Amino acid sequence: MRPILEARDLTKTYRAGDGEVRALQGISLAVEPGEFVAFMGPSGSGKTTLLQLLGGLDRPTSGEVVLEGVTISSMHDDEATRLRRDKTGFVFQAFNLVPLLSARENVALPFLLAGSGPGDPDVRARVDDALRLVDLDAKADRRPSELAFGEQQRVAIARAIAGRPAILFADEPTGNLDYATGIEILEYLYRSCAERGQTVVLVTHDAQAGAYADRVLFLRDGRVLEEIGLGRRSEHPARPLIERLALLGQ
Amino acid sequence: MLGPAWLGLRTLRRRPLRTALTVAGIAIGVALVFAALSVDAAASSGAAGYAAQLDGRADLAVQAFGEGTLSQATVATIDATSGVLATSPQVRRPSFAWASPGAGPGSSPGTGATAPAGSLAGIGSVGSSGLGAAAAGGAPAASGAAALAPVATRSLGAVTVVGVDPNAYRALHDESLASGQALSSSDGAGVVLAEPWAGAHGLAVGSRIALMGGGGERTYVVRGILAASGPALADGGDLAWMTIASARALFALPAGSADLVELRVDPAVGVPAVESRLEARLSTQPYLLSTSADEAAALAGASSSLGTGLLLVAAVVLFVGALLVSDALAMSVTERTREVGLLRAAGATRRQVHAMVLAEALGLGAAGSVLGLVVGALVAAVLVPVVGSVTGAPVSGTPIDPGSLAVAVLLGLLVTVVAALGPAWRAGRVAPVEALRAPTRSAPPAGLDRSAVGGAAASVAGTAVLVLGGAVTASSAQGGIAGTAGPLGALVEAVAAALAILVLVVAAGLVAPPVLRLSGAIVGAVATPLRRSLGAEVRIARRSVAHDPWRVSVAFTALATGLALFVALSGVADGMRRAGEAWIADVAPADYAVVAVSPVPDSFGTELSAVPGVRSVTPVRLFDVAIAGRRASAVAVDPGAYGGLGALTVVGGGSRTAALASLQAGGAALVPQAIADRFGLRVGDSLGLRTASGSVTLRVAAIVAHSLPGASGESVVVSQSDAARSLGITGASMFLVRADNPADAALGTALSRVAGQYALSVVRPAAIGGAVGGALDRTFGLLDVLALAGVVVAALSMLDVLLMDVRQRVGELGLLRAAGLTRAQAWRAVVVEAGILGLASALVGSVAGTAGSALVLAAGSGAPGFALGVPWPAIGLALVLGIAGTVIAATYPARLAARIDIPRALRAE
Repeated sequence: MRPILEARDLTKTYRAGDGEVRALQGISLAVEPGEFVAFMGPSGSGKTTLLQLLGGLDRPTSGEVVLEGVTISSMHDDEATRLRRDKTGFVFQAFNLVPLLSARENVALPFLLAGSGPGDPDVRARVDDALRLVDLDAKADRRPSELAFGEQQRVAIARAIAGRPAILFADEPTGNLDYATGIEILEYLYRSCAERGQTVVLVTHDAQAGAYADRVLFLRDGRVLEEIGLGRRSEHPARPLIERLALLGQ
Repeated sequence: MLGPAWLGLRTLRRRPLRTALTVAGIAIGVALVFAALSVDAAASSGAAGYAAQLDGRADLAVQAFGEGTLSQATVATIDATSGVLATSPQVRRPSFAWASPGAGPGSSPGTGATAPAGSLAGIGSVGSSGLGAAAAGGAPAASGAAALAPVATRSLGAVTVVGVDPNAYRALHDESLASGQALSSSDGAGVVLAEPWAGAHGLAVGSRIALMGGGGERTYVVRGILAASGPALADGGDLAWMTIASARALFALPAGSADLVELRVDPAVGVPAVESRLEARLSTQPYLLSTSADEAAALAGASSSLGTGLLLVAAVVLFVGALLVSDALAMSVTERTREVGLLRAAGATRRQVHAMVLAEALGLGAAGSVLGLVVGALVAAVLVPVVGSVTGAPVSGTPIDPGSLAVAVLLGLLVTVVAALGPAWRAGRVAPVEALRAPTRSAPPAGLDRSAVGGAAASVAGTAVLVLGGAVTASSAQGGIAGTAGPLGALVEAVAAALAILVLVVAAGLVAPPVLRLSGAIVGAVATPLRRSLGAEVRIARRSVAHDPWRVSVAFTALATGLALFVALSGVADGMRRAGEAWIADVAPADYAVVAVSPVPDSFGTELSAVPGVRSVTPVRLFDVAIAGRRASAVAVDPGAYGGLGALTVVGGGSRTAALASLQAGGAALVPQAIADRFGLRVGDSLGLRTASGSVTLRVAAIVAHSLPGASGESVVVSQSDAARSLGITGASMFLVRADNPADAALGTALSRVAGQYALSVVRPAAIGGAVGGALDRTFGLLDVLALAGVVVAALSMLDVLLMDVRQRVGELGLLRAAGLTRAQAWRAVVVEAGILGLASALVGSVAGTAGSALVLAAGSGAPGFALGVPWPAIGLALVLGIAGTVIAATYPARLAARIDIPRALRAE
């Protein structure tokens, strides 16, 4: 099967004061459709930078990113933005909801940006569907400030998947949440992957989160240190979470 | 103690763009105030200098009333009054001149084609006085009609003839001879000309000119030319001096008489004492007394009222600048909440925090004031000549006036500091724990919260009082401002104006949320056809605007104030122009008016009637009268003919038909509203009119809205027969001509040809309206330019607010970009938000400006007829300016929004 996302020898160098920080030092990888991949590593290992390059939020210093056969890293910003809008969804650590919009409107945001009216029945159906997946259809008209943190992050997940993106990127989605709520969020991400075949790329420093993935890439100093295949959780029902964690070296 | 204050100044460097914007805002305000004060000072000093030149050593002038003269006995009485050191009796009258090649006018060949036929041509062929007197037909010479002479040679136009006793005149005035020789007492055929007029017409020593007067036409030889200084500055330099004996002969005046007597007063006695002695002794003839101070004040009046207008507009611009300062400091304080908390935690007292913000304000104020003075001096250098040309008053003086400079700088600094009070107060309230609190997402988008609004409102109110109070006191300190009745009046005006601005500010703050929503809806509706491409941007912009109206309310108020000023000025100008045009149409309902320099016989009307295409010719005669000892104007008309044109609107005393019938029957007068108000006249009252030749008491038959304007304002309308029988007034000073085809341009040319031969000029009443409108346009155009400066300052304020807005929303914008908002969409979202703000400001500004102009017009019009209306073109322009100004201001913030670095923006969250 052709990979849905490929990175070829990606490097990223930041200027910091007089010197340079080499955040990524040549990373190549491929993600298959429907796969749940996690990037793990300590702070400063380059995992967030990698995710931003893969998602087209930023451009590599060298190397290329190919999303569904299209090289996103060499595109003009407007084309890249459109591709991002249509093919990707993002979930951030800080939820990043628009405080002025209701939950439903936040979920509908990518459609709005693409020029669809909020009243469009197709948009409405997709938004409702996404809200249902995260069990927030009852609170759809609340503003972010009226929702609990976990609920806000579920809205962010709903927004990320509502457009049926090719890939869902999640950057430390549980970082701001307590343990129980974090598990809940991971369950929703997993559900989207398992029930809908959603490809998910997760960045985390938490093994608990990494254990939900089919495959985990360990990063350190901007390089892939190790790669561990855990397999789809549902296909290995007998293997409890604790075993998967053990596989991750915890 | 000093530490925090220095921090305040360093803050200015941290946000150089905001600092530059704010300084520019203050600088524009200070520049305009400085320029307006300088223009005012230049106008006063120019007028005083001009009057001093004209008056020479004369302290006082006794002037004959109307067209009468001072008799020989009166002149002698003035001369003999104790305390009078020297007198110079003069004849001073308008005349019309032709260049004379040497032979008598009318005899040169080639004029046959245009010379009118009949008896008038015969009269004109001889340049003597005898026939002219005969043509006047026994009417008293002083107010009689002049003879008409067809003109054979080049017309030189109107000129004022000054007949003097050369020795007595030179005792009071310093003449500066440019060429030729001075006038000698015995010279009966010589004239001396002022350089400007002689130069304009190519006349030199030895040239011959023909002058027309009540005694006919005479030819003179130019003996000398006077340089354009001293008395030669009067009447724009269109002057010809001759001996008083020659002038009496030219105008057929009695021996020993004079039009005015200039006199020098013994300083030991003083002008007031001599004035009262003259008043006691001169009882036989009507006269007017004037002092040089009166003349200077009258001259300064015209430019001063414009100066006051400039100053008020400049004050509003400075006020808008103050809003900008207040807003910028409020934003600065909001951005530094954590830093202020840190200072407080480290032990800074509230007072030190206040000092920090005030130091920041003082830095801004000082920089703005210095820059403003430089710009203001340049603006004044441009404005001084412009004001001179707009008002026609003499304006001179250096653009840099020390008093104006001090007032402008003080105002600039004070206004800035007062505007800073609100933000300073707010900064003082920041608690030390703010420093420890992480910047959380739940913190409200830092704008003006309600507690800050109280402080800001207090600053704004204080600033308004200060600016307007300062402006009006400054203007009255400059002296001689028309319309301000002393310091008390100035104070009342200042308080009223400040209150009006305060009401506007509070109202603008209150209406901001609904108006912003309305504007958002309008923009949304306009964008509906484009929804596919613009929908998202419009929605983002609308949300952003509606989310926190307080955030933008100050900039919104600033822009609304600037635009309101612009709309109000246009509205007032429009109203005055419409009123002027309506007035002209009401009192001179004709296609052409043929105007005479001095009265001509009615019979000339038949000459005009003979011009092909003329339907009717109606003569009217404007003249001076005394009403209850005060000078006024009157007009003698043929009630049937004049009324038949459709002239006059009766506003009191029955129907128009009945009023005209009373006038026809005799013994009645129609009084314009302005005169009725001035003299407290009502329908049925008796009205005593007096001229040099007689007096009459008429019944007020009706009050009319307006009448023809004479030398002293609107005129009392009397019948020709009453005027001739009782007041000795005959002839015509103007003929109202109706055309068969008003659009026929050839008729104007034909009329001009006939009129030009008799020294009459042809004007179109519509052109009078147009000229009035033109003068208004120039005056208000000047004020409009200043009001636009206010709009520019407000746009700077908008730029500042939008920049702050984009910076605050970096996280949100980053998220939107991550979610698929293109750069172009981000750019458009900010621009659309600006458009909504601009539209809202323009809406409020238009409403406030229209209301303001209606108030001004209603308050300023004693008489009815001031047409109130909505200045649609100005409103249209205000909408364009408001939206375009804000959108242009938004381009830079929009660029920032479009170029946001997404990963960094997301980290900042």
